[in-house]
Amino acid sequence: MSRTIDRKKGPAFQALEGINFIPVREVALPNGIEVSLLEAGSQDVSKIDWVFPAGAVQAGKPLLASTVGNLLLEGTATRSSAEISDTIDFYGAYLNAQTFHHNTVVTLVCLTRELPHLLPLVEDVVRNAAFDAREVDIYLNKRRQEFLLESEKVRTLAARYFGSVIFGADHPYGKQLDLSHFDTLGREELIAFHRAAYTPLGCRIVVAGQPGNDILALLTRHFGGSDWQAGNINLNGVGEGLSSPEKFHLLEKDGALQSAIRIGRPMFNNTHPDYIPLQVLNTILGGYFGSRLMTTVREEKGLTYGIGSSIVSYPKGGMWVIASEVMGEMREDATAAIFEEMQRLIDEPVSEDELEVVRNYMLGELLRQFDGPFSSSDIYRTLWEYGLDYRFYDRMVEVVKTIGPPDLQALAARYLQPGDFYTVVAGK
Amino acid sequence: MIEIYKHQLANGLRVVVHPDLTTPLAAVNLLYDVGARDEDPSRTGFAHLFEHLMFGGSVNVPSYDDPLQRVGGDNNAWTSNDFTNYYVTLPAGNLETAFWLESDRMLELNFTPHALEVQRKVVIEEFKQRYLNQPYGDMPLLSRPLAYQVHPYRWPTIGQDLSHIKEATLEEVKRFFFTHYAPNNAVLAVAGNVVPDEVFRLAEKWFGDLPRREVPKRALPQEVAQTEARELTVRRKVPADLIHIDFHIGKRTDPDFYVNDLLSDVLSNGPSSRLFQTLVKDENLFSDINAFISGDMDPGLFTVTGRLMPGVPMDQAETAIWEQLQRIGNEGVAERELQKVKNKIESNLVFSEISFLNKAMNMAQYELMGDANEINKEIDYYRAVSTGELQEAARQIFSRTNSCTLHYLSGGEQ
Repeated sequence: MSRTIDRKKGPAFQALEGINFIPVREVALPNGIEVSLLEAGSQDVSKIDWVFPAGAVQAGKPLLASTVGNLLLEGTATRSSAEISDTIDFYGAYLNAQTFHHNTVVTLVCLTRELPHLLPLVEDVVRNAAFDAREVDIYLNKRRQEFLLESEKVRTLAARYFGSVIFGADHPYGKQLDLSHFDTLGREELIAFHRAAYTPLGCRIVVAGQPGNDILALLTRHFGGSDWQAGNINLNGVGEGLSSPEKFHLLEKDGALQSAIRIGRPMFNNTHPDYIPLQVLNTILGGYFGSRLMTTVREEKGLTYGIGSSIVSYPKGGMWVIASEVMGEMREDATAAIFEEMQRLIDEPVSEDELEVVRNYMLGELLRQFDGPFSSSDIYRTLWEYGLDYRFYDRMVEVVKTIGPPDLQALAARYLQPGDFYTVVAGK
Repeated sequence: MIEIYKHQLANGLRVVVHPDLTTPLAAVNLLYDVGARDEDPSRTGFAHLFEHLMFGGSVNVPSYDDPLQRVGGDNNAWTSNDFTNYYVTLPAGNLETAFWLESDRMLELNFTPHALEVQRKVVIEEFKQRYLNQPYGDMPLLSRPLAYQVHPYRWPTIGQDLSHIKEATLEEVKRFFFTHYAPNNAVLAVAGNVVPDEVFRLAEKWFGDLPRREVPKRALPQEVAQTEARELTVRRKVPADLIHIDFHIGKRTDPDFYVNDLLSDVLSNGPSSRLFQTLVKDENLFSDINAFISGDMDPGLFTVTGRLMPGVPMDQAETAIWEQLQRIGNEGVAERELQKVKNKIESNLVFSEISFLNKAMNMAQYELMGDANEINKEIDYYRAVSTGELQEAARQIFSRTNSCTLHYLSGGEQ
């Protein structure tokens, strides 16, 4: 068979139309806890998130909220820590707690057929965690070791310090964990915070996968009862951030071969009208492998293994942050190159050709993010925190398809002024 | 159960396909049978450096990333001691773009001194970022040569020494490509929203014309059986002491792979595992401890590694590990305990089948080991393992003469 193919020219391709979101079913348990179900997927597996208003903000100080979250699994009034982990492992499941600024999320991932064995255990740990003094000690000692290990990494040093530069050292988003917090955290505080925050008040449940027909009956039995008293969590307010008066901060670390760089500025969160268009600008700057920063700082100059930029959204604020670890002795060159790329977006319009790549890459990325019930439920859960829903992403698809070079240049002029950015360097 | 369709091209390229219609996407995974073990001992790190060069454009396509991103695709790659793996995910309707790009870089790379210069620098930064500028980062550079004296597993994929990467020449790069990158030395796996016959047609269209290449038969020096315990002690600027013990075991394709894997799970998979419950929770000797097997294509390692709590003497920690290891050899494990780790294996297999990209990667690896359909038999191999086999394996593996111990102590200057 003879045939010739044109290897210089690629095959034809299609642009993406939009995203098929997994439908969400919303119900409430008898005690008022709201449940969202995203039922989809080819495997009989379930992922259930319990979201409690038990984050670092409500706790009011570092370490408290995450310690309470992690100690849920270390024993209840009737189950020892060892029994809890044995049950989870025996049923091939994963149970963990993750603490964020405004909440703690307890997540169970398991084969659906094991839910009847596992949900009684989740009920017990969430409601009856014992905070046994010995378990508290073991946990804090372990955690202290992890903290010391992380403190040896320039990347961690820069990231921690950056938060306090952008928001202020006393702001909930800027407050840093230090060793003294380990010495002053008491068991009574843990018990009090657990009692106040792990209750039906402010709790919600997100279910994803193929949880089966019995899921609502099971959730009602274990989490829907009126015997579970609402708590009295104080939804601590978050005041205005106060950025550092200094634009440049250097944390020297002896013997560092690389310097970790964080360059960024305070921003609004994803409810602001400019947030979505700025995602396109951010992608061009440093949001994908072909971005300007990757091209210049890695692929042209070879100063780093990786560099990226993102706009981080929190319920009460946000920040733009560019992060990289660069050759120690070339740190100034790398920093200068980053600011040059920001300036170039202000000075020159983006070409239609580059914009086409970014449009299609971003649409493909959305498709990847929404692939499957588990990742979709994570996105849905986060949207809910901001009072948003899937329409946010419909709008993103629309903006990505229609935004033009002049819009992007205007955004750059407004938000990428180098004088508005802060630099933190850890290393040399 | 993963449904698998196979086809082989005349030039030797093996193609395996798994349709998964629950996703609008597709994954294209190209696995080359070349890894760090195939490197010249004076040019270690070459397979991995080469992985970077594969993104510098090919003979007909000046940029690999740009056309892929233009159709909504994303990609990455990894190198191990055994393999080099390249993967793409993209909207299934644009599948052919991945075939175009991957076939052109299998045909021939665009070798330029500039691309080599830049990627050399990037890899040196990666070396620093991962191995030199992290606490404990240089451990693989210390533990591997202790466990392997002649086999190329004695160096890590990043390379043994920065100078090897610094001195690599364009001629060597070209030779490496034409020696190892060939349709007859690779497996193409596609999973996602695809039709097998259409994938085979695209494979014929884009890869069918590529020449078969002469790939030398692998003849690696093999280790002789270790006859006495090996030890190395170093002191570094790290926050805690660490102990890392390697034991020699067999290769990935040996039947006892499944026994060894379950043995490592009994020791350290999950919070209820033995090492965690005894040494972290009950005795507070370690802040963190792990056991795992390497699963290498040549005889590999069973590793136990842990960070000590402050104030715990090294010899006490080491004795405690040995007690746990020998307890299995002496007393065996309970049926329920074995059932527990088998259950975890089974649920993990189900979880891994959620991702079409995972399935593509696994299929490629199984096909290269012999037959992609073995994926579906794996669970039975695990189920068949008995408590007696676990006990026997523990006796065989956990002996002093089979051990290579690295004491990585805190309090050093650097």
